[in-house]
Amino acid sequence: MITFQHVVFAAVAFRAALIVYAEYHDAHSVLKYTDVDYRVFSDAARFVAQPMADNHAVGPWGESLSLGDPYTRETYRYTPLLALLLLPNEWLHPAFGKVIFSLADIGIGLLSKQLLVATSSKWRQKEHTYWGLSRDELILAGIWLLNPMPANISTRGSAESLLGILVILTLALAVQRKWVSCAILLGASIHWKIYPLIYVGSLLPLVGAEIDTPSRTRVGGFPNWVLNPQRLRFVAVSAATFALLSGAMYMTWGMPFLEHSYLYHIGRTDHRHNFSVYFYPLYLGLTREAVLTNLQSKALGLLAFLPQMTLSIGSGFYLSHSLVESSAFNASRTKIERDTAHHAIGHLPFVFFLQTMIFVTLNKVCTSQYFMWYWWFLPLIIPRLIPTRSAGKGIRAWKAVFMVGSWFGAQALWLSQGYTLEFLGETVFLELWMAGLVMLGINSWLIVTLVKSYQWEV
Amino acid sequence: MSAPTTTVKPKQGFHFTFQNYIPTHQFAQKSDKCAFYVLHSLPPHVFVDPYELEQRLHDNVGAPFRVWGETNLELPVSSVNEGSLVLLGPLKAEQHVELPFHARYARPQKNATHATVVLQNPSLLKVCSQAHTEYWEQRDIKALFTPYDSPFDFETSKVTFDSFTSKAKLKVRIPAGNPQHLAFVEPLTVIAILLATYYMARAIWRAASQFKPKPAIKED
Repeated sequence: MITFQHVVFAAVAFRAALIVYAEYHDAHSVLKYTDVDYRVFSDAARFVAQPMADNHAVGPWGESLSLGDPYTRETYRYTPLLALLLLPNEWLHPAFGKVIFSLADIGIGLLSKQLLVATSSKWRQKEHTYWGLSRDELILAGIWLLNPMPANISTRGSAESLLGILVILTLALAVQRKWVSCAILLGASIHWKIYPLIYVGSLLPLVGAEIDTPSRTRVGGFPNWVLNPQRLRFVAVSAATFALLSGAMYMTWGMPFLEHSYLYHIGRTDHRHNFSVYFYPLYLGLTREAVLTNLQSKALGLLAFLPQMTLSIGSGFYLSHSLVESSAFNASRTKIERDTAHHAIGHLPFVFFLQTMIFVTLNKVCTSQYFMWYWWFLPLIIPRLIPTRSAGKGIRAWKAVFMVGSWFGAQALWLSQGYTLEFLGETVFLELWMAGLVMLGINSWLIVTLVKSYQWEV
Repeated sequence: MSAPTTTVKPKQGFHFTFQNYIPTHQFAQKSDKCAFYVLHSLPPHVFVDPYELEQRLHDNVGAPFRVWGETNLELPVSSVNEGSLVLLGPLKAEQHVELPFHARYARPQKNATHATVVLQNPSLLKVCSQAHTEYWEQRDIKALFTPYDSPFDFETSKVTFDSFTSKAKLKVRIPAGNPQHLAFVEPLTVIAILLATYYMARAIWRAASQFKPKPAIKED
């Protein structure tokens, strides 16, 4: 009989083996197992640890702290906290960062297990076991803990799992309605990477919903809705956390921190090929006069920003708000109503997933690592996509296989054209852009299918 | 005796390698007092990644190096005004030395599928210690490094140079987009994004409108 503890142990051992293999492989091969990004992080940590005349923190606190500047490393576009976290790469062992990322992976798995228990419906308590594991534990093992993809990503040195644990922890605290702690984690997540800002949309309707009176939830009651003291506190704590962290980084590292950690990402457009359909018009737009090129870049940036932010934030807000309305929160609570409150929050993992997948699908730049941002929600939402007798929805096995195949197939199509362009040197820009359109279409269809198939009733 | 040779592989794409060979010959004779350097002058269309070269050095497959000029890998060629210089060495005679380099996106071209970029043959420099470089020789060496300063001390080293030869003119072909595509690619991108947004928004709206409000519960 296998227990969940066995799965966790196997996941730890799997990642440890990959880290050891990476050391051997990289020492004996010109083609490295370790990702280029890990070298960027490690170099940035080394620059922080070794301040020099042309490498020092330029913020008001920088001189007194005697720290180097992580942004001395070209293409380092992250918070300095990541470089600080990887300082032991210099003192202990270069693989220290990979160990941290892998532990974050495991942490995501453990938190997901808690979330599965917290958000499951009562009827799920009696279910079959498979070799000792419940169905949800089996899904968690297959999609995350023992899945080679996330293990490969973290052991190659990608830091996405650090963001993942911040986001999943934010979600876990929200499900427990620990709103102050949730707000702190949300603020920290937004500091780490800007996009978790979209989760404000789905969280706000839930914060303090139990003290919303019916008048607050109607259109005319909007000011009262906004002035819900719990909601105000949530926004204030989240904003304060973000401001404290970012303020401390700015005071230490100055404008380079703002430029590389935030402004670069907000204004980023990439004319080079990536999964997003924007790359080709941006590249061709370079033939225009400089003024027109800049105008086109700004226009496309706005085009990318408005639908993306409106839909990713708006969908979260609209779904959460509608769920709260249907749960009939009111000031006078009975046991039944407390259960329905649980009902609304129980769908938060799916809403987070939806918001994230929309954000990535409509983003003006898209690379493979972005897929991780919604991958870590999959073990939490799949149980509610499996057809049940009591609910008419769900996704049949054959359709699930078709959907997964489509997702991978669309990427394979794009990658085949990308390989032809980049390594064979054939001019296939148009074909690559069309493959990007296929990806956009497939991902949109997947989102719509998931929304239609998700079991909102249970 | 053969002259130093150079070639570039592959002939088209975005990632290339200079393959240089320094045979023992009249210019490059083995000597304890002399070291050899290979100097590449790269046009704005291509660039080297100093971090990649550093990794190669660390792996003992690359040579010590120094780079001047533009190495920003994210810029298109239209945003780059200068090329770069790469100095590899010190090296010995009878040594193969490679230099990986990469292409920026070329300006889109109406009547061609590729931009052809001609590359200069690298220079082979011989730097011998316990000697000095004559003034008139310094001028030629400094010209190789223009607009940057030569890294050699002409008072304590005699620096001379020769050129690598190649079987054919060194050139690479970089894929280039077709500006005529812009007329439909741009509006179709806009339409695709707006359609996808509408499609997803409509599905979410319909899903949420099916949430049934629970009937009012009597207070206990």
